Amino acid sequence: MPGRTGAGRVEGLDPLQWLRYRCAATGLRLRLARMPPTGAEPTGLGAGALMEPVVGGQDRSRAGGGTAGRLLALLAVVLVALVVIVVALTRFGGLEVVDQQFYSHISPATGKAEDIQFLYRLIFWLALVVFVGVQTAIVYTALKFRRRNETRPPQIHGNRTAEIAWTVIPAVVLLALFIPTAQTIFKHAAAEETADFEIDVLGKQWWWEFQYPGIPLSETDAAAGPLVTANEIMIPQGANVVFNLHSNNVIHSFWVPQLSGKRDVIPGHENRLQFTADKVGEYFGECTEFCGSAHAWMRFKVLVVPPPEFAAWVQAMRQPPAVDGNPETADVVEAPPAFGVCLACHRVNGTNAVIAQQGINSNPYGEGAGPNLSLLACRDTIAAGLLENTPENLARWLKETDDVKDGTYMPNYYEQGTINDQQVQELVDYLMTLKPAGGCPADPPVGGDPAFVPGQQTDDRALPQNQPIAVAPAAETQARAAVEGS
Amino acid sequence: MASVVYPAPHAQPHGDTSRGTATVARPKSQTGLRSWLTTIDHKRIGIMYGVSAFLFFMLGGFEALLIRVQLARPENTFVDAQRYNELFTMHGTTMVFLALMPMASAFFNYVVPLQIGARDVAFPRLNAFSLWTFVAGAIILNLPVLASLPSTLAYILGQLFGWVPQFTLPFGNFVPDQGWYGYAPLTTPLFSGKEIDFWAFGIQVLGIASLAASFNFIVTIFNMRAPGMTMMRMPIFTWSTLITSILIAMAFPAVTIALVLLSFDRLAGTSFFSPYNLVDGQLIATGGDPLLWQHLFWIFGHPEVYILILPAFGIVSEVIPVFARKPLFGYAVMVYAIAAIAFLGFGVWVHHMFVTGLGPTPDAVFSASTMLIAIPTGVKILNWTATMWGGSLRFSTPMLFAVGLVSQFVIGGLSGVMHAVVPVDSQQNDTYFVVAHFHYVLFGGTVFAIFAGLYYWWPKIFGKVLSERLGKLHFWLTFAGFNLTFFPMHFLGLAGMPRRYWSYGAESGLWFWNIIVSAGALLIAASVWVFLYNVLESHKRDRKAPADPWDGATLEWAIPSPPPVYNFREIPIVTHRDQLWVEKYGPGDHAHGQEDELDVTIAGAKVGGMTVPDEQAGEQAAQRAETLHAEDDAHGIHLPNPSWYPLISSVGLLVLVLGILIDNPHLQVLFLGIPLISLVGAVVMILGFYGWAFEPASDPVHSDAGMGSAH
Repeated sequence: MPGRTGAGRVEGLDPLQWLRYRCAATGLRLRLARMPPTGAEPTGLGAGALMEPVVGGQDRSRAGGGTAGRLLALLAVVLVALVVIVVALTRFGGLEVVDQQFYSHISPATGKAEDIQFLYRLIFWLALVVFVGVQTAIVYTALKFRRRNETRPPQIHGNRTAEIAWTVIPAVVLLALFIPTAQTIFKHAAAEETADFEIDVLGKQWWWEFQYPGIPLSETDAAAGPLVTANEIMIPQGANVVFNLHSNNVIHSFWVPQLSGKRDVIPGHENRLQFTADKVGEYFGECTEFCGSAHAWMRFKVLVVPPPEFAAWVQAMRQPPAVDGNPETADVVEAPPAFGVCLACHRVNGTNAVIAQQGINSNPYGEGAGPNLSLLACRDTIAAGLLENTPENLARWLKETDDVKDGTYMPNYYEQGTINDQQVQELVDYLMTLKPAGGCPADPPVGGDPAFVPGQQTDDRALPQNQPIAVAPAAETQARAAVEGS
Repeated sequence: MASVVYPAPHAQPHGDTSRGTATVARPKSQTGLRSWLTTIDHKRIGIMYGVSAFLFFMLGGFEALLIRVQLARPENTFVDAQRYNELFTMHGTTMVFLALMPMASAFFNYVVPLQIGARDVAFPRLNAFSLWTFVAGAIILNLPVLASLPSTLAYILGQLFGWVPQFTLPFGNFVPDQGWYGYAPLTTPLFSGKEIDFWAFGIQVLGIASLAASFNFIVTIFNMRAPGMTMMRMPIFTWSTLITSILIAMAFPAVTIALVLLSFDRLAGTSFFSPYNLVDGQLIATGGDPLLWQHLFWIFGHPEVYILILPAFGIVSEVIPVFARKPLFGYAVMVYAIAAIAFLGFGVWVHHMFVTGLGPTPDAVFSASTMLIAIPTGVKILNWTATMWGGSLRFSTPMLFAVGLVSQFVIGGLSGVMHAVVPVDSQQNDTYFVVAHFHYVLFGGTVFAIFAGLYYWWPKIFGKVLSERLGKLHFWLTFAGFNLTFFPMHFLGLAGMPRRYWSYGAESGLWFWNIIVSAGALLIAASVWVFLYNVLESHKRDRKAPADPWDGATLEWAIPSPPPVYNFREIPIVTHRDQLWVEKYGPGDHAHGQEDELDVTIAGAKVGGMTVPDEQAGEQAAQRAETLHAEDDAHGIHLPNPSWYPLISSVGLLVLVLGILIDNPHLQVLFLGIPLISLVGAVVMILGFYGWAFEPASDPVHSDAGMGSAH
């Protein structure tokens, strides 16, 4: 153990002796505990020797550099390495360290997300400059002013100019940052008023319900309510869409990183989130406010599709499930009897299972507690983004519900003995028939169409932007024609 | 401003004690368990705060390790969702309320009276009451954890041997699982169980302890400074203690109210925080508002962040000048910066709620106020650097941790400014980017400073020398582990990984940084073991520490290590800010610089190139000192006596709360609708207060025996 010698050298001294120094200015003595009861005047003990720290006892100042120096050098290396890592792994503040970027806001696909990404890049570079500057100052100071001898350095108490400078300069920088921040805040708030396509979002434990208040489920029966789907939102390209966020249970947060920042879904509040869906694509969304056991598996997808495909999807959603395609000629698929237990919570449009829609005032535990299953076979995933939608996974979901999604409210009727293997298979077969006539539409490109250039129409079927999207009969006819032609 | 008041207490620790009007005999022992239970010595209370805080630091760290094991792989099943939610809830709650806050309390208790030249705090028995009430709150919070151990063990057995016991323990879902911030409606009865009551009452009781302690320190610092120690001559750590105490006194009432309303919601069927309630299977609107909870909680919660970080700033402001052998650069500005941060800290709570949809105007206003806090914080960072500049730096372990804070806190500060930019925050809120941010603040800030303070004051507190070699190993392990753990969390946040996810998909690509983060967490754990080994080794080797091992500038280094029970044999007279340096090296250097000019306007006049107290203050100080010395000469040193009553009162409070929380019809016997156990607790508590009120602070003096004989 190095340094014991140093300790030994000092330990013999009474460290309090030198405290008997009379303060010349006031003539008052600092008399201290355990001080020898003498009137001895200060002996002028060498302060430098006494000030030698004995903890650890190392006297490294004479060793030339010493461990402290090496450690400081290491500190410098670590800091430089950190900066290198940051820069190497980022591209304009973006990030290329994950295999897929479509969970991330660094690849924006709407104007709104672009605005946010611009601000992020601005502050990232500002922060990097400050970071490098301050760390350099700290490391340089630490290396330059290491203790080399025991003389006391000049006792500087402050410097008003310097302190005013490093109060004012950050204030100016922050003001420069605040101006675009406030501009963006108000710009995005104003944009909420311009929306022309509404979607009601209902945060559930732990899945999402989406309702289209402008699109009735039935063209003839108004009482059937709006079109309802779950966990996958379909949006026509170019729609200036606003989401009305509702919850009747706990707080959730609605986040599609590539399309917009998040907004909390708070019971008793009507929050809104707006963006214009410029770019055809499939976007990843998730809940970001802790909402209970299965919070981690409350994911969803946003599918931005060309308007004709959207119209076709709406039409298909209204149809009953049909055998091999054409609903006008073929038989409607009969649900197996076992599906009855599912009807406590689930619905399928166009069947006898389409009764009262679940609304925001429904009981969180009871009727209407499960996702609408219309066109289930076309969804990419089941259990709110947890499992890929395959027959095998559907069967697994029905048989091992709680193992698959820990905490879910969906009962495991298989384990309870209500349904058997045979019935599970019937249910899976039935669910896999829930797709539109002519098959499921092709998925839009994941993470957005890379060839898309904002402001240019790359798809001649797309409607002009900023034009209200309504599912007019004409569009439906067009869509049906497109489907029949394919 | 020279309010030099020293309430000379009239008693002797060794004096013959007699029973006052009290019903419990005055404890007499100076050693052994009983002396620790009844002590009102600020130093012993400080040590007990520190030991319990460190134990909870390790418990909270263990919970963090379990979290990291779970997240080391995608779709891991090391713990299930419920256990994971319990782990992050208890990790946050434990670290904030049971580790970092009481560790700051430990330093307040031990160091502040020494720094201001006092023999104890203003209300020593209230101080003991704070400690025992803190212990009571910690017990209440962790009872569910204890109760869940059997089922956890059963689960571990099941994991290890593939055999899951087919029985359900009565404490199955019993640990708080709603997050340390307890957002309603997750905490309302519709969505939670009994465990939330333990959480709410635990925090409530901890709030009582914190409030009592904060009043104590405000009074102590205002009234018990040594003669001549004006406010602007106070050591900066004492300043940070004062301002932190004011913050506690002003911030805790908000969470107290919130928790009272929550408890009404939970136990009395009200709906302050729940907009819906389930009545006969029907959801009905009740008019409650979950956002009310968020406002109340964050009006407390954001100042709470400064309650955690300002003591850290104070410690670093003590350590850096000593190891640079140079006064703190811009003392006055550093004091103003602490005050400014504390003041602004009350006006930024909405930045926790930028995505709750409050509207553009509040968002913009709170964005601006949040950015403002960066200014005094930046000043502090640069003033610390300027303190080092031109100094004679020795990088002993306390200095390494202190400079580590200066360097690492910058990162937390910068990501904090990122979150002030509301649109950017709308992307980063509730992702791992935020987790990275506040760990750079609370670990890179508070924990680094706690270790700096532990290494700095350890020789003073225990009179023993810690190994520098192990200390430096500890620092570099901590530094590496800390950055390895928390820096990649920025990447995870940018990549879209939300907080409080018990699992994540294998396809997300998040596994890469997660495994590195988990490895870093192991490194941090290893560094804590190095510290513990250092402590054990120092105890074994028993190398005595001198009184002033670091060439300190403040009064605590003027007395022996460890300090005698009475601290100062004679109360020192303070003439300068860095009093001990002036004593040791003469006032020469300290006559220069703007800081002394500031002093002139406050307390002193410039005479012959020196700052001395003005005539009146000098006379008062001299008279005061004479009186004190005369008293000492006549009666020895007077210290208040130990007392059982603070402990009795706290135990009564604990029983009172447990009576409410017990959820067993056989145990919870009601008397007029009030749980019988709670009644017993209330009676004990009131008797404790009663005895305390009528017990003299110290027993009458009989002779000059005792400490006084050590003249």
